[in-house]
Amino acid sequence: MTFLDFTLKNLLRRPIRTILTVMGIGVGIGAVVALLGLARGLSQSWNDAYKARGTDIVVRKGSGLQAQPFDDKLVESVRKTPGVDIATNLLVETLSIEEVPLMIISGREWGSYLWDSLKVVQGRLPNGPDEKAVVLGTLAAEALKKKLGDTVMIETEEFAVVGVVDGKAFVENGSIFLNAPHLQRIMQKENRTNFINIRLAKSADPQAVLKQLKQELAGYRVDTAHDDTSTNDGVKTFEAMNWGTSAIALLVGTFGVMNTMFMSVFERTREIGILIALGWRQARILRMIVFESVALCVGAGVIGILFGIGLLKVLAVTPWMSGKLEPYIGWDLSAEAMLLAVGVGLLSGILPALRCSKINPSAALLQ
Amino acid sequence: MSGICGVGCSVNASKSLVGNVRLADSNQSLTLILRSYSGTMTPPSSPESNSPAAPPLLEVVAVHRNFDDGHVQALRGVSLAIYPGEFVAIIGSSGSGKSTLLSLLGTLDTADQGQILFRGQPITKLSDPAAFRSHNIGFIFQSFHLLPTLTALENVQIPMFEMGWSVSERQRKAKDLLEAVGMSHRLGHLPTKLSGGERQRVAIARSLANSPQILLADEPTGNLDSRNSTQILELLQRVHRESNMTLILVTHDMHIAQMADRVITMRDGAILSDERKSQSVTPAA
Repeated sequence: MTFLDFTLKNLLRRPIRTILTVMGIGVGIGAVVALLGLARGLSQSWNDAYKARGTDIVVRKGSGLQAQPFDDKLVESVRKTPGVDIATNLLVETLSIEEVPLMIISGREWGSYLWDSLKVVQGRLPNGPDEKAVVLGTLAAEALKKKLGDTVMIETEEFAVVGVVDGKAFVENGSIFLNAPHLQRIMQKENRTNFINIRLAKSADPQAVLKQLKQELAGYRVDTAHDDTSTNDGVKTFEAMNWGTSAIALLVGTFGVMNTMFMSVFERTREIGILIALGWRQARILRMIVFESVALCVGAGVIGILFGIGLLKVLAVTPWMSGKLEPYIGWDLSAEAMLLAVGVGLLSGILPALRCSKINPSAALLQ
Repeated sequence: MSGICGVGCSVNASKSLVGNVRLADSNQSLTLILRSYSGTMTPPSSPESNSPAAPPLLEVVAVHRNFDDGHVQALRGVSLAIYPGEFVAIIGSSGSGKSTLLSLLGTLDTADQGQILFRGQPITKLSDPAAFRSHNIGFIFQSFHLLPTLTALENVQIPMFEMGWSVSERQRKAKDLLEAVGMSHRLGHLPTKLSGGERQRVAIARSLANSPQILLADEPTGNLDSRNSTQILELLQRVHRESNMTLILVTHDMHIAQMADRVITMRDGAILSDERKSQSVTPAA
């Protein structure tokens, strides 16, 4: 019999209580996985979109999820900055389109490199800047249940669906693409944009260009494409809110495990007295209780990770998320969740263990 | 003083076989090999054993123990010396203080006043009494105190966890001990599936797990019928005779006490008499 066998036998003596405790903390861990998966998915989806477009640097105003509009003539000065190969305006809006509650509408300058990254799956791209047509990302087409020849109502205007495209990134595939002036008109944002996407010259030093642009564009946020999402206040707020919710779930779980361990210690006072009488030292008794607590939480971690991943997969196909956000499911998230589970186990095992190690064997044996 | 085991043992020394004991049951013949570590067990032939001329193994000096804020005086200035290899019975009625004295000797409890010495070293306020118990004391309780979720074989291994032995070593030793007490056919049984006599046999095997110098038995037959009581007492006598461990047995039964070499009678927290079979020694303290 190993020490592990011994502690597991202790846990299995009350299987229903053990299972309920594991389920309780498992739900907490599952919430962590699901909520962080959403937050990271948001960041990851935008990163992938930038990568698919081939954008190196992003200029925007404000740091929330919804960028503030600014004058679309600014791009002309950006184009003159040494090291900038191409710079193009991008107006992005999120609107309710027909039956779909939220959809990304991407207004792009005609002829810009942003159109180049869209691979036509069906139909074609718009013929020119004036054609009143849209192309749909593959997921957007699915969500809107549209095919070539159909029309899409954006706010008060109707557009013909002339193509379905693969944007090579989740955000792109969930978007509707049209020429920027149409979107500017619909949104009453003539001569306004909210992003400038920049592709650097091959010979350019990204940091030097970034520094130069930051100097030139005071009052704007200029970041590398990666930093644009990771330092985005909206993403950070979303992640912080999710952590907060997760922390509450975890706290409830921690108290649950602590309660179980305290009950277990109270019930086993005589047995723990026997162990102490038979020479088990304080450290071993401490280890036994903490080990039991951690074992409970590791079990809960496995269940929670599976539960969280399942939840993310279900959320990903719901109408209000499908095509807009691809939840992040990675080993690192699972590893973090498991570490968290072990942490909860340690935290909730310490107090019962300390109480346990102070049991007077002489008195305990009389129980 | 050893840093590991508290007082009077030296685990660091090389392993040496000092007890090679054959325990024969009335029905079957079994061999128990008590492997010990040098200095932890007195061999049967040792000249220091069982003799008041040798230095005492345990000395109790004017020990007081009160409970309930001093309203209950369980021990009132008890003094005595116990020598290596002795079989001592402590007899007395309920409330005489005999079990309290046993708890103090086993470092399960702490005296309010006075001192208890083990091989001349105080053990009254050890920083790590569990380590001392682990290496020097074997307990046998009236209620057996086996862990209900563990089999007989696993119960016997419990004291061995502190000895740094491998899993296979623990298992082998536990098996040997259970065979020695006539329980080889019940290795995988939980305590609930064992009779009272069988449970106490497992408890005796467990008490021998770490080859202690002292066996403390608190009413070991208190929960047994007369047939099982006789068998358990015979087993204890054999363990004592063949290992020469010091056996201190608490009982309220004079017939059982008379099996011992020495009988200490207690009343109202004090020693009333202290008699050896061959001679009468120290009067009541």
